[in-house]
Amino acid sequence: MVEFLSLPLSVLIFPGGLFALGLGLLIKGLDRKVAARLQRRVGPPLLQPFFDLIKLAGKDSLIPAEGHAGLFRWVPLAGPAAMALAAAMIPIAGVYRPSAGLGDLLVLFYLLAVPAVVLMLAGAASGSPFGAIGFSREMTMMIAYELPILLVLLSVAVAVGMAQGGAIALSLSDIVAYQQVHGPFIADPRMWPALLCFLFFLPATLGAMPFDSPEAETEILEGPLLDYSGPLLGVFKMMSALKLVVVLGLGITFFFPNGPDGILGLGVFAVKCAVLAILSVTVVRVSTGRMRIDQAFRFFLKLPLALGTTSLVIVLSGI
Amino acid sequence: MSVSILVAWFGAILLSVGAALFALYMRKVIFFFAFPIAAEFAFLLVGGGTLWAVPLIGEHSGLGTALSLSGLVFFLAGQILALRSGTLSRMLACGILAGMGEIVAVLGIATPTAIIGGGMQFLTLAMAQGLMFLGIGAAFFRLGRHRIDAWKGIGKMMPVTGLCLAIGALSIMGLPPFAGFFSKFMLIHACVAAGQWPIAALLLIGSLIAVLSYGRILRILFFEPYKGPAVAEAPLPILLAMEGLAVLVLGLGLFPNPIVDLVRPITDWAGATAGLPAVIPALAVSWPPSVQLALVGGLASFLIGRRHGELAGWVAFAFMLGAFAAVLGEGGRGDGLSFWFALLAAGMGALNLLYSVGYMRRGHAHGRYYLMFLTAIGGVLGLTAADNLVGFLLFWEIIGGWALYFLALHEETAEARREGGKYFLFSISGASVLFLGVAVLGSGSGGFAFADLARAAPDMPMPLLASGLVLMLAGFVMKMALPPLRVDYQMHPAAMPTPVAGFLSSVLLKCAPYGVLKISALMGGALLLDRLGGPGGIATPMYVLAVLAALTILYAGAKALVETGIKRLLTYATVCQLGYIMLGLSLGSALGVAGGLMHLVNHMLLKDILYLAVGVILAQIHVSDLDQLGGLGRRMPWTMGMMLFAGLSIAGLPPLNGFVSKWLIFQACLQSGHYLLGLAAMMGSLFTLAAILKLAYATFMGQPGPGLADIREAPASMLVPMGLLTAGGILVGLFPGLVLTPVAEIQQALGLEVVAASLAGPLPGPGGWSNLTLTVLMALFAVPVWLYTRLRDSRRKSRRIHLCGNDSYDLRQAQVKTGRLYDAPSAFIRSVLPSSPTGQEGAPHG
Repeated sequence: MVEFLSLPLSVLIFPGGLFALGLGLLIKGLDRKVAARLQRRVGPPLLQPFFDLIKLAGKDSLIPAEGHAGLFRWVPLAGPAAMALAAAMIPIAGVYRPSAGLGDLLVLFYLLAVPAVVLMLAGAASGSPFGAIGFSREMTMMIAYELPILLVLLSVAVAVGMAQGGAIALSLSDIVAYQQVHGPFIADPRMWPALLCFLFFLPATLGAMPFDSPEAETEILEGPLLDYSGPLLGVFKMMSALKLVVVLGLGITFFFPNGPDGILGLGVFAVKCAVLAILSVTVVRVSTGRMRIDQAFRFFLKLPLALGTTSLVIVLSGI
Repeated sequence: MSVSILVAWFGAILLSVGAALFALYMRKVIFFFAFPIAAEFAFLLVGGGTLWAVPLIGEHSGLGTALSLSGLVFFLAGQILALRSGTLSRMLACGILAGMGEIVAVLGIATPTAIIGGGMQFLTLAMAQGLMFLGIGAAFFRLGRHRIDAWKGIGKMMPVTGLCLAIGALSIMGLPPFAGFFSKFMLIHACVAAGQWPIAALLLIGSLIAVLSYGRILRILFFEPYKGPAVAEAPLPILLAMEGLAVLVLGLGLFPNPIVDLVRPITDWAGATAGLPAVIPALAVSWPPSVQLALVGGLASFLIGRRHGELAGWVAFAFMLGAFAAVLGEGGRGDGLSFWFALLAAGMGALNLLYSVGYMRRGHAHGRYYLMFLTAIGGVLGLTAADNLVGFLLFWEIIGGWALYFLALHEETAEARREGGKYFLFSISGASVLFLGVAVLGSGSGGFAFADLARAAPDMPMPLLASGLVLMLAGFVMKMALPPLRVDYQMHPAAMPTPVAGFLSSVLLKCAPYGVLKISALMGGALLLDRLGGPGGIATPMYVLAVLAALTILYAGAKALVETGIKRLLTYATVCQLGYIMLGLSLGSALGVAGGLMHLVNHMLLKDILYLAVGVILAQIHVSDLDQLGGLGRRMPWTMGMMLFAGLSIAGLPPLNGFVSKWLIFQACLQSGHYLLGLAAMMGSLFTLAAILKLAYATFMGQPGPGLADIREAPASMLVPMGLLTAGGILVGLFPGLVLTPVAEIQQALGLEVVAASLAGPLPGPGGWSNLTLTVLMALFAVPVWLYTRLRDSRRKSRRIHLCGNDSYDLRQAQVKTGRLYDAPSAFIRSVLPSSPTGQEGAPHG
């Protein structure tokens, strides 16, 4: 009975659902504030993303006449749902251990593809040429960053797996448990290429500069999101916030999950998310310009791919 | 030797000569005829007489070798000359030369089996060629011309003559279910059993050349428009003679033992002379009720189809339902794998036939279509019911053979003819490789029954076992068109009618993984592994297969990404998914086989939905390129919804059913340490996703293309099959145990490792999760999100999209062309992969 109750609660409230949403919106607010300060502006209040959501709920939803209304209205709902589920799969050391019945690293990885697909279908469904271009660019970015992140994923999982005597460890809890005993991977020089590759992956998957071609404001007017307004746009903001937490949580799980137990551990986790976000997203986005989509694609085929391959080779050779 | 035998032999000779002479009363050809015929008979008499005069039986002597070599020379020369002939009668004359050469080549081996083979071939060839001569004579009698090209479409004007000519041609090509198949089988068996593999290989190559020539005749006879004067059917005496011979050829194809019995006394006599027993393999093929129902249904719809096209479709569907029930009834016999495969094939066949009723409303030649379709389905049912290698081979040749060739040519366009010809050749080549493998294994086991094979496998000498296995695997792989044995997209002709293409992709191509699984299980499964040895705990041939499969996934996925032709995109996607199935199966572990089999079922359901959805459009308008479509989503919401479901599922998006089977395959690769294979599989998912989204975008979204104003949603007869398949997909996604429980039973029956699966439990493997749980949880969170969108009861208003104030903009012009959709990846892929021969993969437009 507890099992049946705890799973929905973990998706709806903690650590998925409301907790992840709140944390994500908070980090987004922090990101905007820090970015503003770095650019010598004042910036919006920390809680601005919350206010945005509330405001959007009251606006009218405008459905484009040229698009496909059904897809337009219903496709966005899948995004936050998938991300809330994914957030429930992220372990927090000493605080939360996800149930094995939710799935392993592979399931999480493919759930991460759902928001991108939602964005693409939304772009196509709006009937707008900007949406179509956003669709095309989003897919290109996905193809670009998928292979490097797969290599990082394999490196970490195989490293833990080999140390445990098997071939691969795909359970996130196992990866965390291993690092609690042997020290976080961030302190292990073998894993630094993987870490660096992951730092490239973060802004790409979150659609932040310099890899934000799919939602370029100045070129394609935000692409797929252009014709969304009102609560439906709010749904996308939720999806974005939840995805932020999932991806940050994934990074923390891979490289530095260690932390104290209890509420303090929760606070440490939140701080770690914030720090990782600021370092890899905020600082990068205020200091770079946007890469063209073909430049971004070719970039990922060079450095991040090389880093990922190096990391896998190092792990497999058992150095 | 008894008088009756002598009479029968000479009677056969006289019949052929008589037919030839009749044909001779066309002017001018007498020189082309008389000389070759005279030469061949002289040769035969000399060869045969020498054999009897000199006690050669059982020894492979220099004279025998000389005979075989000269026979081969005549055989190959005859086939090549036939291919290059311009006139039908000259072609047949060269065909006689080739036939005699073939017989003498085998007689030179001088074993009792060789004599039976030679004798059978002589009789069947005589009948078939007599048939063809009579047919040509009749047509010539009516038409007065004899260049092949002038006879285009004559089969439509003189249907009975055409049919008889077709039967004759198919028998000469050695295709079942005609008599020529068994005589060819006996010939190849004789060669291989005596260790004369090169002769067998050359015979098969020669018959491929024959396939080219006779295939061309069939194409010209039936699939070209007829432009001549209206002529009557053949004169009655010729007609009766032809029909009699045709019935004989077909009947002996179904029940070959009378021919064997006819030739046996000679063999016994020869064997007695040399002191060798004559070992004749049993040519027993079982035709279970399900197959009979399918074939009878085909004939029924053919006859009805001449006048009532739609009724023929309903009749075909009804017979297929009957066959499905028959398969259910046969459940106890045979192993689980065959039972489930047959059930799925019959079910998919029934659904596609139902769909065809609506699809063919604007079609033509309904009777022919349903006959060929039901034959193909019957072939699959027979394949699963076979209990010996002869039956297996027979049904395999039916599946990939003339039925599909005629279906490929159905549309009767120049493109269809070209593509269909290539498909036929490639298919028969694959079947020929399989033929050789079957002969090798059969000779090694001392018999062709599966029981013999299973019994003999542990002790069979390694070279024999390995080469037989490799040949059979190669034959299977050629059917699936895995690289490098692939001839690009020619294995899946795009011009086929869509329901057939869907059935081909979903069921027929799965016969190859079915074959691989069945043969490796028969030959000992795990024991085979130990004997063959290989890396990472799997046998070397299987490891090679796994690597090939991984390469296929990447290659086909990449090609699908850049492709802009509608059917070709689906073809590449199919090949990609077949790679997944083969990867799972060749890993051999419990998880791998379970994943492969589950993906087989998932792909069957999902790919068929994709084809049928596309078919809804193609039934109403003829388009071949994605750029010609667009904006159809609002007019066919159901079709679009089901297609999106199927597409996203096959691309492996959780929590849909396609992801579940792919997860099993990923786990199987990674858990067994084959990281690179797993990596390839995971990247392939992404390529498939890209291709599917491109297909969905170009078809349903954006602005309507030109000429699409009249497209409507599909009629109920087409929506129901798609809906049933979608429901199946959803059900399998929520309860994977529905598929995994039978899979576990199959694994147990085949002696493989069993996967732990229960009807409602979590997935097998470490870290097993439950898809039902995931789906429910996702839906759970979607509810509050949806409530959020209805919080302040905000209204929904329809409005134009934002175009920066440029409201008179032509949106159709702004539509991103399909070829430019993935510009950067496409450029990269094109720089890495060789381009396809027609160069039609969406090269950047101006």
